[in-house]
Amino acid sequence: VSARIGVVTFPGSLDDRDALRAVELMGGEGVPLWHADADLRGVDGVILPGGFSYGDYLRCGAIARFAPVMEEIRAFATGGGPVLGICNGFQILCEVGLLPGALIRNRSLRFVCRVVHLRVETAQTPITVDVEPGEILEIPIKHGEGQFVASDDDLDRLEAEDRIVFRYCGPDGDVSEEHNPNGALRGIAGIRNEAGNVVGLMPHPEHAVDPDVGPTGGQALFASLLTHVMAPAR
Amino acid sequence: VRFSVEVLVTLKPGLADPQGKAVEGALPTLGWTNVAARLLSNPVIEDSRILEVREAQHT
Repeated sequence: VSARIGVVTFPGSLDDRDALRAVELMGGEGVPLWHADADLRGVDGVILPGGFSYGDYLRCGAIARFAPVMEEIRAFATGGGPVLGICNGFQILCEVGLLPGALIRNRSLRFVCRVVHLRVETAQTPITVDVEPGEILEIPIKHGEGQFVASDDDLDRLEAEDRIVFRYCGPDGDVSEEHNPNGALRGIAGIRNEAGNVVGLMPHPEHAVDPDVGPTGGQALFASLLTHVMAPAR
Repeated sequence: VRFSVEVLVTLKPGLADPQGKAVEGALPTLGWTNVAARLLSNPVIEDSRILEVREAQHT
């Protein structure tokens, strides 16, 4: 039996198919989920993919939070189920309040599309259980609104509670403004909730699993997720 | 002298207004207050206030 990972399609989602494909490439079963269905089809984990849900007409992720499927996901997350938000999915998780902070326009005001280096900061999440903190992954980003912001108190709490999952860094792992593609506070590329089962990140691991088309920094994260959901309950 | 200016930007008549449609669709369930405080603004990083509520001239 392989891990069943649901990927939600909202109107305007772009990366749902890549996410499903990445799950399958790494040995899991990808299960398509639909925004208007309040049904998670019994999956072991949920991915909110990148894109422009509902056109992002008001603000990234602002409308998706009201989708019928989101109530199910909130309950699933509250029960400890692994939920991964990628890019637009990260924005949605912040809008829903499952993660703190917000993603605002890149400091450069430009859309950024390139491969970045990420430093893994904690293994205490479903997607990093099999990764060593300090490990450096190559993964692409592509976003116009990826600057993570939060209050100083929230940022201090995230750091104190080991809830920063990824930071933008250089090839050697050095975190500095030089390697910060969007102005994110404290170089934050991804965070987790208190329990650790909900993770959001701006970079796209689903685009980084196939060596034929680019870097493979996403493989370790999908492998971790699949291992995590198949592990006996702890 | 310093001035404080509030600017009202509107679409010209006849243009598609997807943002407006989204707000219109959300009003029955959310109401004005929630549309202002939860839909049009992100309470994590933004404050909002309703300046005026008046009857629309046309639909």
